Amino acid sequence: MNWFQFLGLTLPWLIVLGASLTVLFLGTLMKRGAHAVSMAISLLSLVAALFLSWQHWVADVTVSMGMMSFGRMTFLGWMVIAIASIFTVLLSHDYLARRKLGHPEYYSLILLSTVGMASLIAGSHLMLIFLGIEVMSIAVYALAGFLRHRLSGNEAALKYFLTGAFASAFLLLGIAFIFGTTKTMDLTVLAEQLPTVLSGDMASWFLFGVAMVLIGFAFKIAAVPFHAWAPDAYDGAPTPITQFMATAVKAAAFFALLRVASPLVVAVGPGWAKTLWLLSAATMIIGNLAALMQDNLKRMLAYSSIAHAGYALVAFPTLSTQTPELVHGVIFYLIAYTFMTAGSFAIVAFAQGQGESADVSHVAGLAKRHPWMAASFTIFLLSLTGFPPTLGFFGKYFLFSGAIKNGSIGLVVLALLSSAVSAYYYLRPIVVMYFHESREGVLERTSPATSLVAVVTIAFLAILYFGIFPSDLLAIVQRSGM
Amino acid sequence: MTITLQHYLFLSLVMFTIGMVGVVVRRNALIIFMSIELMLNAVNIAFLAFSRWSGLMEGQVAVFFVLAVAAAEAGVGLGIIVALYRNKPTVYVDDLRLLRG
Repeated sequence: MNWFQFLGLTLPWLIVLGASLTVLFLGTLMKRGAHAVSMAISLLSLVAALFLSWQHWVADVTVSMGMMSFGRMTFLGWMVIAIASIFTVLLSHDYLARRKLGHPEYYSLILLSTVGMASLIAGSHLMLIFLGIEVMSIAVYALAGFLRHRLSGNEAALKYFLTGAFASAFLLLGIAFIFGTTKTMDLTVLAEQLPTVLSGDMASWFLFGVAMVLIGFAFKIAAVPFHAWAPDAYDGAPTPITQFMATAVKAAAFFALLRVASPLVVAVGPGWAKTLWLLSAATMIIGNLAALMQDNLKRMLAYSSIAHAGYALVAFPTLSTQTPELVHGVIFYLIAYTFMTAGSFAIVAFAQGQGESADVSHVAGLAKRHPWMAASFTIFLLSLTGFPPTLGFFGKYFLFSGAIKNGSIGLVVLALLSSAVSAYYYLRPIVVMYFHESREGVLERTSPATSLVAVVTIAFLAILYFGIFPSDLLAIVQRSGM
Repeated sequence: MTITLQHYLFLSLVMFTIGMVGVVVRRNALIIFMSIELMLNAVNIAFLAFSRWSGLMEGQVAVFFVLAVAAAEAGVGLGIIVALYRNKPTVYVDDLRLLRG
C-alpha cells in the first residue's frame, strides 16, 4: 500500500479533521470571538475539501487501498457532502448568534460528522462502513440536542439517539452474519464469493445477514416503516442541523447503500427486489400522505424528505452492475434533492426568527417584505414537487425513466401519483406567502443575514442553472462511472 | 455434547431478541439504552463465534471496534439523558410528548 498516495487521496478530509480539532482547542483558548473564528475555519476547511475532491475527480484516480476504494463516484459523493456541510455551516452562524449559543464545539461536531460521512462513502469494507455510520451519527445525536435548555431539543436528541443506536445493532448483526457466512467483510471479495455462498448450506444465514443490514440502512435513510423517529428529530433539532440531517446525512447513507446494495441485492434475487419494491412504495405513499396533514414547516419537510427517500428507492429493486443509468439516476436525484432541501431549510430558519419552530403561517406576507426570499422559496418548493424547468423535475425524470427502462413500471406509476399528491402541501406555503397578510409582522423587523442569503442564492442559482441545462450535471454524474 | 457454532449463534440471537423486546416494551430511557447494549453484546458473541469457527482474526478485531463505538454511544447517550433530566426530571419516554403531529 502506497501511503503517500493514500494520504494524498484522503487529504481533503484530513484537512477537515485537523480543522475540527483546531476548532475544539480554540474554544478553550479564546474567550471572545471564538464563534466567528471557528465558523471561518470550518468554512475554509470544507471549501478546501470541496476543491481537493474536485481536483481528485478531475484527475480520475481509480484505486483500492486497504478498506477504502477511491474512484470518481467516491469523489462525487465527497463533493456532495462538502457542499451540504458548507450550507449548514453558513446557516448556523446567524442561527446560533441569535440564540447566544455560538460554541466552537458545535462546528467541531459538524466537521467530525463530515469526516465520518467521507469514510462511509469511500469504505469498501463493512467494518469501515459501520464505523463511518457511527462517527457520522454520534456527532449528529449530540448536535440534535444542541439547544440543551429546550425540552423539545432534548426530546429530539433522545429519540434520534435511541432509534439510531437500535438501528446500528441491526446493521452490526447483519455484518456479523455476512462475515460468518462469507468469511470476509470486504465488499469486492464478497461480490466474487456470492455464487458459492448462495449455493452452500449457509445461504439462509447469509440472507438473514443481508436483511439485517438492509433494516439498519432503512433506519438511517428513514424509510417506512423505520421512519417514526424522523419527524420528531427533525422538528426538535436546531434548523441548520435539521438541514444537515436531511441533506448530508441522507446523501451519505444513500451513497453507501448504493455501494453495499449493488453486490448484495443483485445476487440475492427476486425476493429482495419484492422487499425493496414494498419499502419504496410504502415510503413514498406514507411520507406524502403524512406531509399533507402538517402545519409545521419543519415537520412537513421531514415527511417530504421521507417521501423523497422513497423516490430514490424506486431505482433499487432492479439495481445491478449492468444498470449504470439507475445508479446515475439516484445520484442525480440526491444532488438535486440536496440543493432544494438545503434552500428550503434556509428559508425556514429565516421565517422562524427567534422562535422554536416555523408554521406555515410564519411565511404569510413574505412576498411583500422579502420578494426575493419568497421567489426563491417558490422555486425550491416547485423543484421539490417536480415542476419543469427546475432541477427537481429532471431529477425525477432521469430516475423514473431509468426505472421504466428496467421494468419497474408499476412503481414509477405509484411514484408519479404520490408526487401529484405532494403538490398540495408544497403549493400551500406559496399561496400563504403571496396571498395572505402577515399577522404579527415578525418578518418586518428582521432582515436576513448575509450567510443565509448566500445559502439561498447558491441553491437558487444551482436549481435554475441545472434545471435549464440539466445535461451539464448529468454529464458530471455519468462520467463518474459506477 | 460438544458446543458447536450453532449453540453460540442461538445464544447470540436469543440475547439479541431479548434486547430488542426490551427496547420495544420498556419505557425507561436508561433501560432501553441497556437493552441496546445487550443487543450489541449479542452481536459480539456472534462475531467471536464466527471468528473462532472460521479461524479468522477479523471477527475479533471487529469486536474491539464495536466495544469502542458502544462506549462512545454511551458517552453521548447518557449526556443527552442528563441534559433532559435537568429540564424535566423524568427518564420515561412516555412523558416526552412535545413533538407530535
